Amino acid sequence: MIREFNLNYVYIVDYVPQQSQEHNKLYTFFENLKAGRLTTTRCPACTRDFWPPRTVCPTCYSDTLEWVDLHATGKVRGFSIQTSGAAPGFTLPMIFARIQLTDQVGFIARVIEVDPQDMVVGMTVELVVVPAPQNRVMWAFRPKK
Amino acid sequence: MTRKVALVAGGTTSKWGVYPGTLRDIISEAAKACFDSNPRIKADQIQGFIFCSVFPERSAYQSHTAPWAAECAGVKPNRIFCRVENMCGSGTVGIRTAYTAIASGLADLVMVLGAEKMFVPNPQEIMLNMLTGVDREWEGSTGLTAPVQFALAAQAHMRKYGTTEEQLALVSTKNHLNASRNPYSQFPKPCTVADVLASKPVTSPLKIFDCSSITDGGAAVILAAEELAKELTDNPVYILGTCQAASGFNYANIPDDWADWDVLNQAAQTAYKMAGIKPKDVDVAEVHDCFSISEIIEYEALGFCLKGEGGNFVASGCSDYGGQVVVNPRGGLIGCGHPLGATGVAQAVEVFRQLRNEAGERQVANAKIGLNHNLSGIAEHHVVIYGSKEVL
Repeated sequence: MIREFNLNYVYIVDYVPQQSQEHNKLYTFFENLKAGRLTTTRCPACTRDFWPPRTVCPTCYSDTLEWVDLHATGKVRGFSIQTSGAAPGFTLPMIFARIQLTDQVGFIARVIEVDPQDMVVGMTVELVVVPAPQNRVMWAFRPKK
Repeated sequence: MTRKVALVAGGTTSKWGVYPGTLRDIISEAAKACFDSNPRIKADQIQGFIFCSVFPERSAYQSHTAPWAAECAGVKPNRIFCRVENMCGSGTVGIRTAYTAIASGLADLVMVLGAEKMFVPNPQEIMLNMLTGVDREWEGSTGLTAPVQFALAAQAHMRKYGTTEEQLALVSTKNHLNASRNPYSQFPKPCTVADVLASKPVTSPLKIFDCSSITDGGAAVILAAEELAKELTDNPVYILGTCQAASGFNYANIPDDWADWDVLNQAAQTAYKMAGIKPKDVDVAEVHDCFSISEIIEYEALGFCLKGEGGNFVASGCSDYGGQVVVNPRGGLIGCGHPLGATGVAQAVEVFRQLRNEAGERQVANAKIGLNHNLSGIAEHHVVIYGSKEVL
């Protein structure tokens, strides 16, 4: 017979990034995030900031990159209100926005703590650090208070 | 000097949607449909086998899939075999892989088989699997999935060009009507603009009828070198040109303006040049309408109309039967469903049928040149242009 077995942790359904020094060379990002700082890596030689953070510069292939703070506020360039088809662990409705943080860095992120009807293009949003399973953290944004 | 390459057989599984079987069964049925389409070809002639599937490791718990799928398909490749995974564009990338093998002389006869089993017993797993198709650590981990990315492109196009939700809906009504004439389509029921606008909101401005679906399905084609192709069929469908282009992966790094898909335009222009044709020469096009907005922007980037004119293009009937170019006669991804790795192969099957005048009530009159566009994201595109023997 084949017996049922129990797995307490299944990596292939854990979509939250590994955040420890043991498992992720970019662990500094998450340590900074826990301290309320949104950071990324910069190549000093190329004066380029990357998103997502990297361990090697894709232009000059330097592996001595430095951590820099991104602005903790950004402008909403566009947004969509999602009301169907959420991944497990997320509650609908969800709001995703194109957010521009600096001249060099912008990305899609979740906006929380807002009524969908109050979302407008051009609004200013600020970083929120949100908890994730196993003492990890993730990033989201909310309207600037 | 490269050799000319032609499609000589093609078929799909008989009904897309929730498949009453395993991925193995889908593969076997797709291979049978393909061989049934051309009794002159015997399985032991197949020298190459390209398997296109996005997440068999997750949805069928199977890796090492190329030789596994070859066995399911009943072929023993002795020149080339591999699995191609390029998310939603996998099927077309597989056809390009077979093309390069045959054009270079590495093999003479290659099967490309796309199959996807997306429905799994626990529906939560379906969404977890879809998270693997975006940048999982830096996008998927925030809950972001593909529909939101395309919704943001729709917002950008609407702001920049005034495209309306009614125009988006017209893509859906056209493709649903076409799907009603396609026996394997997942959604064969025609709908109205009012139906689309009133359908369940997914992620603004997209409603459920603006979206392609989770789908199980399979499709297969066989490609041959020119001389062998002429022996195997009286009507080979030749590859005239092809190109691929990508620019960035994480949406932080793709070109800034999401209303204009210039990366697709680059790929299309290279493919047109290779084929020696202009966009206006295309009679029938199978394009990647994963969402209604995609088809509208693709009209523009493929050169069927000017930038910003995509909404008017569908509204004025230019992409319908009797118009400038018939787009998505099989019903597109919106009407047929979107079994990721199978989609590009099924698009090629439709072009194969159309250019051989074998598409039945879906037939585009006098179709001689067909275009197949498949994408894997706003900034990642795959294009193949086909011609009937008359245009070679």
